[in-house]
Amino acid sequence: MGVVATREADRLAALRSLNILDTPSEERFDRLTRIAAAAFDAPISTVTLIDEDRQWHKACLGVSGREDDRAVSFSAVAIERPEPLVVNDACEDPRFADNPLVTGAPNIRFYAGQPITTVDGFRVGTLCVIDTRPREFSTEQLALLQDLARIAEDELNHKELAEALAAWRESEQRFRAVFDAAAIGIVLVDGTGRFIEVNAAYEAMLGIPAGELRGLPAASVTHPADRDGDPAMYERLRRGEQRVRREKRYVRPDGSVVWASVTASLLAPGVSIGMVEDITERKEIERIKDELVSVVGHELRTPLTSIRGSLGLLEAGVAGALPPEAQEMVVIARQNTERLARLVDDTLDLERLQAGRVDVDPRPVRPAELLAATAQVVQPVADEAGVDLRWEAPESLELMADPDRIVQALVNLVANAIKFSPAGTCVRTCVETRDGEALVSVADDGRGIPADQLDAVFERFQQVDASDRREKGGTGLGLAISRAIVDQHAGRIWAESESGQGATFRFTLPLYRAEGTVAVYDRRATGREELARAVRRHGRRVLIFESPEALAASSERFVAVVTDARLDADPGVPVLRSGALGELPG
Amino acid sequence: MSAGRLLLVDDEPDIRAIATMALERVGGWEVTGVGSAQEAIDAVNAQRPDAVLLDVMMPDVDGPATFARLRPLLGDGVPVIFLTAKPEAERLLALGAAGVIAKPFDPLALPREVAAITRR
Repeated sequence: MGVVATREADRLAALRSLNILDTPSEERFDRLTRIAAAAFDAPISTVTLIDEDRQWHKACLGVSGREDDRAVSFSAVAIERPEPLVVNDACEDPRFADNPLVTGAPNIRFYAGQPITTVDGFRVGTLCVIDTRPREFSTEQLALLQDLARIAEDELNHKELAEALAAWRESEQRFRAVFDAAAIGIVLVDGTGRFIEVNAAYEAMLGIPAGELRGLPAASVTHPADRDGDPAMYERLRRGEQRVRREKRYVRPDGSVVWASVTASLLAPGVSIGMVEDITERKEIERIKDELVSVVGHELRTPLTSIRGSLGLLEAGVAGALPPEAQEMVVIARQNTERLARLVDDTLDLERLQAGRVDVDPRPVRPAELLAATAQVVQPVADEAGVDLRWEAPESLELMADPDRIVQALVNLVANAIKFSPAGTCVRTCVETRDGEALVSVADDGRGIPADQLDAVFERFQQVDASDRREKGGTGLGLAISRAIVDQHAGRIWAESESGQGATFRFTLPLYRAEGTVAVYDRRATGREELARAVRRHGRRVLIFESPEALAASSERFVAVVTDARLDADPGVPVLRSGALGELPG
Repeated sequence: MSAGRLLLVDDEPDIRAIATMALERVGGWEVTGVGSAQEAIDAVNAQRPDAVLLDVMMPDVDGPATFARLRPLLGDGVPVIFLTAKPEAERLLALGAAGVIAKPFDPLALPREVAAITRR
């Protein structure tokens, strides 16, 4: 019942969308009824539409009224089935014998009606011929009626198609206008990384006409160093991420470079849309800012060193004993100079870490060594604060870390924890394995961090309480530096806390995988070092070889060989085939 | 009691002043401070020092080049100590330096470091 009702509602909607009900007669339909009446030698022919409660004739020949109640309509019965309805003698047909159109004017005895349908397949009416005397209807006549009905159908739908086309064009033009008027570049890219469509802003950003870009692989306009990122981005979208953002460089035909922020989403399977914003200017400002920080930092260092040195000599009485008040002032000056020097050093450190200008070189290291080195630095601070330090690391564990850098990060974290620990409490540092990674935790019993600031504490100069910086004496950069260091180790860092119950800072590091030694070979020394560093970052032990021959002569067995030489082009490679390899992943 | 005559070569007057005060008052050296290779040569010719403290980063003639010119004038046995902000101790020792002290130095610790290297 429900389905029928819904279908009837849809049929009525389709009928209404034709916008034809109660419109004046039109020659294109009148013509058809004239032909039908003549061809079948019938006095009446109509093009009839059936709406909710009536039949309405768009064209009618031989009848005076244009509408009747739906209940008496022959055509209403005809549209119930796709086949034509033929009633040879209405008086003999129980469905129509007492129909007022049969018993009274126009005294229908014969009816033949072929349903006509919309483009969506809804039967909305008929083309019919009617006679006032009983008739037979041959197969040929039926075929002719169907042909005429098809013409009526085309006429009926013609208008709708034209309107739909016009509406589509209008909407397409509107979309195109928005697309082209957008201030940022918009690109549609297919699954193989080729441009389907680009807008005017993108065209202008790259200095290449849209016509030339369509069909071109996006990689061909991407800076060589950034090409790997596009497939990776697409892969993340394919795996279900809603939106992926990255920064990349494009190269214009004149060779100039455009920095862009690209935000991509999947539009349909195999089609992604990218919003591309030109951030060249921002990048340039960032670069100038970083350079400024670096230059100012280095320029500040020299005079600071002299001030600190002079004050140190004065304070030690090297230039003669000072009056007590002068001594006190010199101590204040010396302490603040040291703080300023720390701030400059930390700022430079952070800037260099973030710009990737610090060589972080992870190698296998026992966590106990890292903890011992950290303890050496922070123990005096803890003693002064009356805070107990506890350390815990399994002996057997080895992880991949640049010891100097990770100790720097740990010192920052532990010193920070001490700062916020009341005397008599303890700070616990432990290393464990979890999910195939090393997990380092530093926990304190301080006042904790509100949930909404757990991320913010890693930002520069962020403090939970504005008064902390003065009171606690930090530079406000320690956690930011720790994060930058952990980032450089391909680890993650975060804080956990329930306010009032202490805070725990955790970070992950790759574990050293002793079972999987990786051979690295490259004929160029710089290439070898770069490759080795990249592999070590993934927790593998690395052996470096200067040639494939040397590699083949090694007694070690390797899980993989990493090289940036083209294997097929290197004459030394065939020796590897029979050599030391367990497997050679592509 | 004088520890001996020390020639300090550094182009930065402030660093010279600080180091001089520390080396004289704490270390007991008689210090002559100069700012260039030529001044250093003149100083050595005027009076042979017992030790030389030589900055690596100097304009025109740098530390190692100054060292090469001073070496024949100094004769054997006079220790030359480099001051440097870079991790290049090995290279400098290979040139024949008696020792290397990192910059920036702690002025109060400097006399001790110099003494440790020059103790004959």
